[in-house]
Amino acid sequence: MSMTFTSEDRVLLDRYIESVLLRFNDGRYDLQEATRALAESFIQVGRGQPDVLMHMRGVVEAGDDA
Amino acid sequence: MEWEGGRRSGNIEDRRGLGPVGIAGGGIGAVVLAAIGYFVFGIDPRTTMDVAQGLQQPVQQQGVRGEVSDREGQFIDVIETSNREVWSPIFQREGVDYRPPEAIVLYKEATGTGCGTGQSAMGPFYCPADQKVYLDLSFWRELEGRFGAKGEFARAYVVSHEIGHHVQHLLGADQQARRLGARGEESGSVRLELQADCYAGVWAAHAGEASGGRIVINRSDIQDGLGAAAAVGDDTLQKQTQGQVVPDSFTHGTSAQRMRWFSRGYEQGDPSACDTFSAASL
Repeated sequence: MSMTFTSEDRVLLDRYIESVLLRFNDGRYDLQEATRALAESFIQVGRGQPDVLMHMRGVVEAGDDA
Repeated sequence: MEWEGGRRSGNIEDRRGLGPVGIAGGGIGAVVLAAIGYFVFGIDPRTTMDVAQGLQQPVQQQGVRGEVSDREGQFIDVIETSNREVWSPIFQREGVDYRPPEAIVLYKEATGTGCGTGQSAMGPFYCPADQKVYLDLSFWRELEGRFGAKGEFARAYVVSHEIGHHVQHLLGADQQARRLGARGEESGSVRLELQADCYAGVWAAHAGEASGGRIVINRSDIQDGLGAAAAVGDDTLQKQTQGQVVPDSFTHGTSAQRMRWFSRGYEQGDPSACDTFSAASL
């Protein structure tokens, strides 16, 4: 697991987890979709793939607009 | 999950060949066990209480200490050793020595513990009085069947959650939890359990690196771990067993909360991110 996040990235990660779990709680994601979304993102983060932060931001912002 | 090449320390006490201790009568063991109800993993608390009512004075048993030859036992050994590899440097950075659990006790059906008689129906649990984790491996069938949590990583999550309770005991969090109550959405019990989930996430974050690549955790493993955390959420279990959700009786947290705190431990890799006792929102 990469440990080179900025504090801003960490806030984004937390908000991303919240967004996915909110979707799980209100039934927009089933358990498999929620766990897959989180696991895929974590693994991409661990590999240092830069696109994943953009993806997370998109998920968070989509949730904010909902 | 690849674990077969992982280091083993032999911190196993194998009681599987001893046969179960008898269960009869009541006594002070019931009170002791009720107190450690905090540490019971993912089982309806009423089950724990029912079991506690039937306790007798604990019978001391001593199993075979050291390495085990069966694959299931070796898996437990590897995960305990891996937790040691992860937690030792974390404690060291704080200037404290990490003392691993006294043993992981493998038993069948029922066994004497420092906290009363342990039974399979209680699920895996940690006893702070003797600092041992108790595990009947038949729980894996229940984990996969009843809870629908498949995969070896789900099992590793369970073991690491229980070792997380040991870490809490070393840090005094279990005392803190007792002051905050045993039941309810924001009770000490829920905060304690969610913190143990978070610690399991911290273990998962570092297990690969700390093992020197001997343990490999991939995407589907993390998914299995999250699934296991969700499967044993209070809301999910209550819906299954009683058809309705009663937050006032929560002891472990909801499925979403359990996923959240495991995730938090994993993505931060830092136990300071696991402070469920100060968290405004769980």
